Amino acid sequence: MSDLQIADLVVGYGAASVLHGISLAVRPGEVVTIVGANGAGKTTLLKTVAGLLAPRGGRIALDGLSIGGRPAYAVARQGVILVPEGRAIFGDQTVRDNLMLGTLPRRDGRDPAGIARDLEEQLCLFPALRERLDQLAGGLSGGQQQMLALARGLMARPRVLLLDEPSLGLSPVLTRQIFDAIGRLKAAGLTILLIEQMAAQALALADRAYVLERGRIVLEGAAAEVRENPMVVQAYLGHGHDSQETP
Amino acid sequence: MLVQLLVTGLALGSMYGLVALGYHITWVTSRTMNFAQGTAVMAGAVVAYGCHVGLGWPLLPSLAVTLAALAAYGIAIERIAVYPFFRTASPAWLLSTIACGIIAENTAMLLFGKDARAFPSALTQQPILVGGAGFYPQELLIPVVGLCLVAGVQYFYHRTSYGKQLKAVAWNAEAASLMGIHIPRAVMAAYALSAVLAAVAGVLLAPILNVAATMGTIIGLKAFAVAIIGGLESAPGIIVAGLAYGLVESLVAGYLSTGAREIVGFALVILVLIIRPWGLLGSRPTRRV
Repeated sequence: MSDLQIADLVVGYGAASVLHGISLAVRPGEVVTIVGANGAGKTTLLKTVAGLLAPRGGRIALDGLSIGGRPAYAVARQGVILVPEGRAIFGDQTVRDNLMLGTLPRRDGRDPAGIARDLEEQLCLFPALRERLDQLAGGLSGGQQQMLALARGLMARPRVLLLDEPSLGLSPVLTRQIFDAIGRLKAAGLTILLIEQMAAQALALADRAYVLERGRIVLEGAAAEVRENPMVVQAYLGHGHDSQETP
Repeated sequence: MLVQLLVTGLALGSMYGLVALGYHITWVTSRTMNFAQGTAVMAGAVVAYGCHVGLGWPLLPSLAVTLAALAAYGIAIERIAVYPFFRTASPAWLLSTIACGIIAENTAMLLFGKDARAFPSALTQQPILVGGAGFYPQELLIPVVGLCLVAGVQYFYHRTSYGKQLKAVAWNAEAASLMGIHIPRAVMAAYALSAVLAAVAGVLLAPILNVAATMGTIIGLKAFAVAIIGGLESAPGIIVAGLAYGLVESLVAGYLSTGAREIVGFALVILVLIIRPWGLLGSRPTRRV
C-alpha cells in the first residue's frame, strides 16, 4: 500500500493556468474522489500525476519519492497507473494482448506464474472478458472496453490506481457493475484516486473527497461529510445532473 | 520473354515493397518518416561492398556488419533529423531527413567515387534458361528473401512482445506510455528497423544494379510512391502495391520501351491517387479520438 502526496501543484496549457496550487493526499488503502464541474481541472490533475503533462510548479510524491515531472512511462513503472478517460484500449489487439501490455510496468518483470494468477483474478472480477480473451478489443462494447481498461490497469499491480471517469457513457447497469468492481478493489486494500461524474456514487464509495472549482480546492473532508455539505448537494448532487467533462 | 519480365518485375517489386515498408513502420509509430529512405538502400549496398570487396571479408560477416551499421544509421537519422522536431508539431523533419540524405549521398560519393561498381555474386554468374527466357538466380532469390522478410516483420508485430508494444505505440502513443513503454526508444527502434529493411534491399539489388552513391534516390522515391499507393497505414497494401509497381515497370520496359517505364509508372501513381487517395488497401480515413 502506498501513499500519494500532492503539494501546491500548478499546471497550465500555453499561457493559461488550469490548476492553481492544488494540495491533496491519498493515504495507503484509501479511496479518494475529486468532485468538480466540467473544466474544473480534474482530468488535467490526473494526467499530470500520471506524467502525461508536466507541472509548472509544486510537488508530487509517491511514498515520499518525488515523481512530479517525470515522463509517463517512468511514472507507470513506479506503480502509479492511470486508467484514462475514454478507456484508450488498443483496438487492433486482442483482449489478452491488451491485458499483457498492462503487465509491462510490473516490477516482478516477466514472472509468468504471477502474471497468470493476476490474469485469473481480473477474469473473476470481470467475467465478461473471459470468453472474449481472443477477440479484438476494438469489437467490445463500451462497457466491456471499460472493464478491459480497468483490468489492464490492474495487471500492472498498481501501487496507486488513478481512475478518470470510469462510468462515462455507460448505462446505469454497467455503471453499477463498474462501481461494484471498484468497491471490491477498495476492500482488497488498493489505493485509489477516483474522478467521476456520478458524484453521488463516487462519494458513497470514497473514504475522503475534495471539491475542485476552477483549478482550486474549495472543500475537503470525509466523503460522508462532503456529501452532506449544502453547497455540494446543490451543485453536484442535484437531480438530473449529467455533466461530461471535456479534456 | 514474359516469364523473364515477370521474374524481373517481382524481384524489383518486392524490393520496392520492402523499402516502402520502412516508410510505413516509422509513420505508424511516430507520424514521421525518413524521406531519405533511399540513401539507406544505397548505404546498405556501399557498406556491404566496402566489407566484401574492399576489405575482402567473407559474405556473412560483411552482411552482419552492414545490417548493424544501417541500424545505427537509422537511429542517427532519427536522433539528428526527427527527434529534435518530434514535439514541436512542425513538419521540419521532412526537410531535415532530406538534408541528411543529401549529406549521406555526398559523403558516399566522396568516399566511394562517382562510378558505379559491380558487386560480385555467385548468383549472377550463370543465367538460368527457361524456354528461351534467361534470368539470374539472384532475381529469384530477391523476391523470396523479400517476402520472407515481410512475413518476418508481420510475425514480429503480431506474435512477439516487443512487436506488440510497437503496435500499441502505433495505435495510441499516449496510452502506450501509460503502459510503461518508452516512446522515444520505440521510435528509435522503428527507424533502425526501417533502415535495416532498406539495407537488405540495397544488398540484394547490388549484384543486379551495380553499386553507386546515387543508386538509392530513385528507388527511395518509387518506394515512397508505393507506400502512398498501398496506404501508409496498411502493410499488406504496401506489399501488393510494391509487387504491382515492379510488374508494371518491367512489362512496360519490356513491351514498350525502357524510356516509357518511368512515364507510365508515375502516371499510374497520379491516377491511383486521384481515384483512391487513401491507398489501395488502406481504409478511408475516419476520425479516431
